[in-house]
Amino acid sequence: MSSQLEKITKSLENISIDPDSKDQQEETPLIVLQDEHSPDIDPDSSKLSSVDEKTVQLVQLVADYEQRANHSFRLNYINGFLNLSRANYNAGSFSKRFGSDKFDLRPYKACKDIVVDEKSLRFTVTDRLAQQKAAESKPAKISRTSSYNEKIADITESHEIEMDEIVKSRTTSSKRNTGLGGLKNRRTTEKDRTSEKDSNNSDHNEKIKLIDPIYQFGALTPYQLKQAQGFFSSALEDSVELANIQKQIEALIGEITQLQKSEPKEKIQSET
Amino acid sequence: MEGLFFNVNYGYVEGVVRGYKSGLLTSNQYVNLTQCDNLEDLKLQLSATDYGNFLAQQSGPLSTSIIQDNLSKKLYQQFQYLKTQSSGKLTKFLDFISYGYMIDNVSLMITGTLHERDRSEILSKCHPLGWFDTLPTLSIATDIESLYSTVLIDTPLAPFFKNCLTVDDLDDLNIEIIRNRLYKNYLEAFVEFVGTEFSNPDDEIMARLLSFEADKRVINIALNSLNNPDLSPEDKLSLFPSYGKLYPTYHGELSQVDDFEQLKAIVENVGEYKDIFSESSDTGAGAKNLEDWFYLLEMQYCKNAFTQQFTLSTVWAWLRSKEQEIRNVTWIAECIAQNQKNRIDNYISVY
Repeated sequence: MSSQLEKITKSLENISIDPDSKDQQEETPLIVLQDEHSPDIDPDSSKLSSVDEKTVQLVQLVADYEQRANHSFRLNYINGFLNLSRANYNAGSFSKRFGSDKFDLRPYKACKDIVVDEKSLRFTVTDRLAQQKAAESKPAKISRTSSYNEKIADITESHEIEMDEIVKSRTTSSKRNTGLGGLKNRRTTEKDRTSEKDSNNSDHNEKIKLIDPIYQFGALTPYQLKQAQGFFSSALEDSVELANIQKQIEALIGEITQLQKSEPKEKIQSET
Repeated sequence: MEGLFFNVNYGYVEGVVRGYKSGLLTSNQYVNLTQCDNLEDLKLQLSATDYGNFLAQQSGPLSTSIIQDNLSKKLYQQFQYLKTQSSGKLTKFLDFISYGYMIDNVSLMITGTLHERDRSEILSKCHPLGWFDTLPTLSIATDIESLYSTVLIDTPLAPFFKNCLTVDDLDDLNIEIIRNRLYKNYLEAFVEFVGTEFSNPDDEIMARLLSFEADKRVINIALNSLNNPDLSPEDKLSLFPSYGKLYPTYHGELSQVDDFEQLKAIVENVGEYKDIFSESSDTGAGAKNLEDWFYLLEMQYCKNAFTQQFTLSTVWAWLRSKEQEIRNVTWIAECIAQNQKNRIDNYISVY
């Protein structure tokens, strides 16, 4: 991400303003662009080049990313871990009751999937468990990507988010145990994958009932654990959104550098 | 009259327990701990207390689990020492205390086996005070009947298994039901033991502590099962120990509560528990303070238990206080490690 930040700052330095324009108000676009939220700029204005339009979009996206990462994403994780510690305080008399030691290692069907939209290549999290609860009789939908599973994290696990892992797990769809901010995947099994391929066999899927992962810690768990689960769920959605924004940013940077490479040539041609 | 001959058999142990009790962390020491900036500081502060250099052998980065494990080791050492020095009634009493932990270990082994975890991993997580020799053999868990007839019948837990043997498959819910039924039977047997073997004021103190324990379990089961719709009211009722202030009047109603407000209304009928739900913190529902209030009440009872001389209940009171202390220090360590000091004062300190 740091190399991308360099690219962003570089592209911001190279903002071009049409030198032929006579109106003095042209100077204001530069100043306005330095604001993170610039609703005054009209992207259709002929005074802004296409590079500028894209740069405006880029700054907007970076602002969104920063907003989401530093506020909701961060707070969700903080609250999730704090509630997890409190649940351990209330229930544990010896070892940590709610941690990676108590994970159920049997194969389970995923309760949450990440679906990739074919046209826009956007990730969306679909909560299969909620769907099952809402409509018990309908057969489960088939997701075309690998399953992304949720677990309650242990405080001692790493807090690093590995965005690349999400993208990789989409493309490879193999059995993986990816660490994501301390969340561990359950391994998807052959059974899951054949059930994914068997898209017409709705009966087969109806039999596989989804189980809320919180029950692996026992049938009677403190309410703080449920709260922690809620926070981690929201953090998961935030992670996916951040991945989406990151992809858009990368795409925009690519487009901007492309445009900037072609523009100097045009300038040279126009000057000669 | 109990003072005349008590010290002959139990004087040394009671002396040792009172020594342990004086080593418990005080409020001032807790305040010092909350002001630590990182876990190394915490270790330094703890070395000035009764724990001494408990982390001296620990190299590498500290984590809250390591701290908790080492704190607990100290507790186990002290308890084992008491056990080796005990005789007669006291030995039986300490055995009864350890049965509670044995039940937890049995449930842990069965759950771990069901979850396909490695046996040595599960064994390392078992509670040392509840260890018995045939514990590792429980990993052959298939159904509870066979487990009972092969392994559990020779353990001290055998008499607690009445009403627990069902033909249902072992899944998470059933294991939980079995565990709670075992605990109910254990608690009832414990109360009987205390009633027959202990003399005044010992039996009075223990009866109060045990009835509190029973009520706490009832309320916790009722509260936690609100999350889980699979537990039927009849099952719930069978999990409630037949003891305590809420028995028998309120058990029926408690087994049928659907939400927190109903639970609150029922429990508030008992005088001592009226305050549980009344304090509301700024962070939301009264349930947030429920466990805290229970722990506070338990600690007050334990502190009061030390005021009487020539009692064996001091052992129980010390054990519970020490466990609470370990919980407190672990919570403080977690808050420090997560850099969330705004809730660091959520511990219970009565000494």
